[in-house]
Amino acid sequence: MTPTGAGLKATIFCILTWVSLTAGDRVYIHPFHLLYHNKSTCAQLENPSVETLPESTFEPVPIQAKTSPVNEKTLHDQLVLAAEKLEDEDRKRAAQVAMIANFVGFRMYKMLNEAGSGASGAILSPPALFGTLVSFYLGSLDPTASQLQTLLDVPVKEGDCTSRLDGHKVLAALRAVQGLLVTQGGSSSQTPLLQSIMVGLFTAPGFRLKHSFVQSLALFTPALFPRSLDLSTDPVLATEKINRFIKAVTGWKMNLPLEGVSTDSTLLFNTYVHFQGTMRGFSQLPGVHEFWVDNSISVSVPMISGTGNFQHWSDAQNNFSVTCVPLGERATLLLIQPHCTSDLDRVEALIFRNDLLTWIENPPPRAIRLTLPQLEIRGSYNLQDLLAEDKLPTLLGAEANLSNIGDTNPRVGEVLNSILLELKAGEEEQPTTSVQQPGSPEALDVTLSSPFLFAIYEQDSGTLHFLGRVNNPQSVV
Amino acid sequence: MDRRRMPLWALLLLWSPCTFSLPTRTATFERIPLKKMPSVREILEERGVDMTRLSAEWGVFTKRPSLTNLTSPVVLTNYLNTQYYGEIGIGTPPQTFKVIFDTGSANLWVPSTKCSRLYLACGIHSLYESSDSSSYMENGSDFTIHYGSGRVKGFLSQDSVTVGGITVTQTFGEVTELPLIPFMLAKFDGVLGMGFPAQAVGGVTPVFDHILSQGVLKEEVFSVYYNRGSHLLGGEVVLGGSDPQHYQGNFHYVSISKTDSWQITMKGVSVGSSTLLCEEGCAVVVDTGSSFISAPTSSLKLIMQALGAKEKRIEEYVVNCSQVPTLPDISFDLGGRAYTLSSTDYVLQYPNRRDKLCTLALHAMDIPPPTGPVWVLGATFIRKFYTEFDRHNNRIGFALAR
Repeated sequence: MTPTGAGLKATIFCILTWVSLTAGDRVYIHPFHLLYHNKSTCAQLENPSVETLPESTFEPVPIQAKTSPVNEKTLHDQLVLAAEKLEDEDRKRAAQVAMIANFVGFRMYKMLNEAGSGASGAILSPPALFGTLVSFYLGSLDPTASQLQTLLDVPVKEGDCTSRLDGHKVLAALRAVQGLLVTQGGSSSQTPLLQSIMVGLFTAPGFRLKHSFVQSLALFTPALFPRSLDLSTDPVLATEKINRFIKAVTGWKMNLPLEGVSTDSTLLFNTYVHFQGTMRGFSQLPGVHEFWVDNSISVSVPMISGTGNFQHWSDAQNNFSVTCVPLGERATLLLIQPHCTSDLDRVEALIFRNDLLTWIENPPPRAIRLTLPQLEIRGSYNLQDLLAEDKLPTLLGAEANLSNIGDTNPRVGEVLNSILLELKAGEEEQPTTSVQQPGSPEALDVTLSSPFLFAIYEQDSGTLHFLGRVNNPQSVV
Repeated sequence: MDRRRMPLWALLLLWSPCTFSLPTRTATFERIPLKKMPSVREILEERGVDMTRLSAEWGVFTKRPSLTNLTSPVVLTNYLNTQYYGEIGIGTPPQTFKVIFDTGSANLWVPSTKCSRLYLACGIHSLYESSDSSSYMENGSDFTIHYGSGRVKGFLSQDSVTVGGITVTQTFGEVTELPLIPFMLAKFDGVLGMGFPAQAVGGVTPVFDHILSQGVLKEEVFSVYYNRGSHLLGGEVVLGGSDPQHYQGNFHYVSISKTDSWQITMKGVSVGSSTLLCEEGCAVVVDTGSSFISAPTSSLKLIMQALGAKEKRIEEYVVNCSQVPTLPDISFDLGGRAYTLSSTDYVLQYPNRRDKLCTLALHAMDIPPPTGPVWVLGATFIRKFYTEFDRHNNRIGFALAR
């Protein structure tokens, strides 16, 4: 399959097309009107049918309470079922949300790099990050709600409910985006892509969550775990308890932060993403192989290799190469490698921007023998840190008005996105009819044995699901 | 990003000897900042443009016969055939901004350093800093401009503005609210409106009107050339005249139908040999700030049916790329003459790609009365037809671009 990137280009089509003679002269329809509250939901919001009773709240169960493990197969099947039911308007909403999520994702990826991410690499999930921001939007009141709406690119008109972002529609659209990623048409014999998102809401004892807020989050993922624990006596111990809880519930071997959070925190909002992809026609190479971290240092890592018809091209002007590997029917793994080992930062600054998809060319697929490290990439980032890096330190800080989350305004200690991305060789026999044999003189040999960038892109909605770089695959295995 | 500042260059070095035959002009000499090449260069080099050839051509544009009878070119960068922008300077010393020269609007605006970080789009554009300019004067009035694709909001300020080597004192917008869509994709920082004073928000006199009132231009016109592809010269705006290098034959003129905008009347739209629309006449705006051709939704659907195009994703029409060579021409009847686009003109195609579906550069745009309904002829049209905007005779001239 071929990413077209047309969705991004299409948004330019109306740039500056017309100006009204006077400011109030024309009806302005924001491009994303599908994401606003409509008149009926506004009527409900403005005229509650019940007298203003205090909203029902609950205290989460203690973190040591018995909890059933997450069943990733069940989550996958639910996503596929939902994706198959998408109507036209749902797909349009998904494309709109994807567009904004991509923009916010690139911006925060830049902040992640400027904050000094790990020496081994970096990874960011635009949909998870965007879902987190929208979740906080749903939990906020003004002025924080208006600030978040501005950040999410919906202009706020004072007192006008129909210009308010409907966070429920956005979270549902993000779930549709996940469904489009993992849904395979046709052949059920293919190993599925799996993506699971789990949200942990960790609260201080006595803090009560609103039922309505938690129900809203379920639109984003049903794997939702509100849990209570002592966050103040021993923050490091609290973090250890959380990490043990996550490991027990998910089984995912994630790189979770070890430092404790502020002792006056009453809420931690943590999102965990697990992506599993199988590269068809690839197999594990025996032993370990050399990967050059820089011009003088190499490490030994397990590698996978396969021959297939992939798109591949070199940008001689800017000195990088791109290989596109299909992952299932709609998704593509983009592998971007600079020609010089030390050039990763320059190529990243050049290509990982809002117009990434306009760099994607579309040459005919050719026989490629592709070799790359087996990828098990782990990364974590605190959204509060990224926002602070972008000069917005207070947006989700102590002064934020997040009163729609609980019975009192929470003090948020951490907003974590943790990601585990696994790309493995397929177990199937290599097809012998559709691809040339390994070592065929007509196959181009492409080996990723020095730092490279990657992205996972789904073409129907135009979503970039992951952006990242691999500097040292040994440290991320 | 850092604001680039243009160093002042001695214009005297570029004068031809005949200038000195006018000693009274010499006495009134003033320093005029010239375009600094590298900031455009870095963008062009990023796209693999051969700088050697461009540099050779650059010198041609910096020659001027005198301080009156000027024809002043502004070089444009072309980004993917959708954004054409050139450089201006604002302030003393000049802060450089990339702007779209937009005949569909009449205000100059650029992002301000007072834009909140909540607007991510401000984080990736050059920002005007008034405290760095000795010629800044406060105004402070609020302003909002609505475009078909979004709105920008901010406040007015006054400062020196230099366009194509001509400096004027200008009231312009400092934008403090810059939406992601479309400005996160914008390679330009702001907009220089080339429309009429009546179109200007806030009662501001447009830049070109200030230039006209200086009486330095050869003619009260400006011309626009949009090149295809991103190679070499992306495009050109000529203040005070036109550039015969970029068109063939003579201009054919169409009078504007209103005295306060670049709007003309179209007497027919044909697909192939059939006239489908506008036989009773339609309002058309010739809009250099628009990427494509826009039509009211109901009209566009008729065209799309005739072309066999399908709607895909967000109001985007596509055709099978293999069918592009056999698609019919589209003709616009302007001033009694047919202006024809072939499929290679109205389909977005990228040489390095082998997509199955090609996007059409035609889109729906519904504008209510009294301003609408209108058609818009944007860059898709201007790439084929070099366009002269004549303020003296209130007409628009078209010639085949080359």
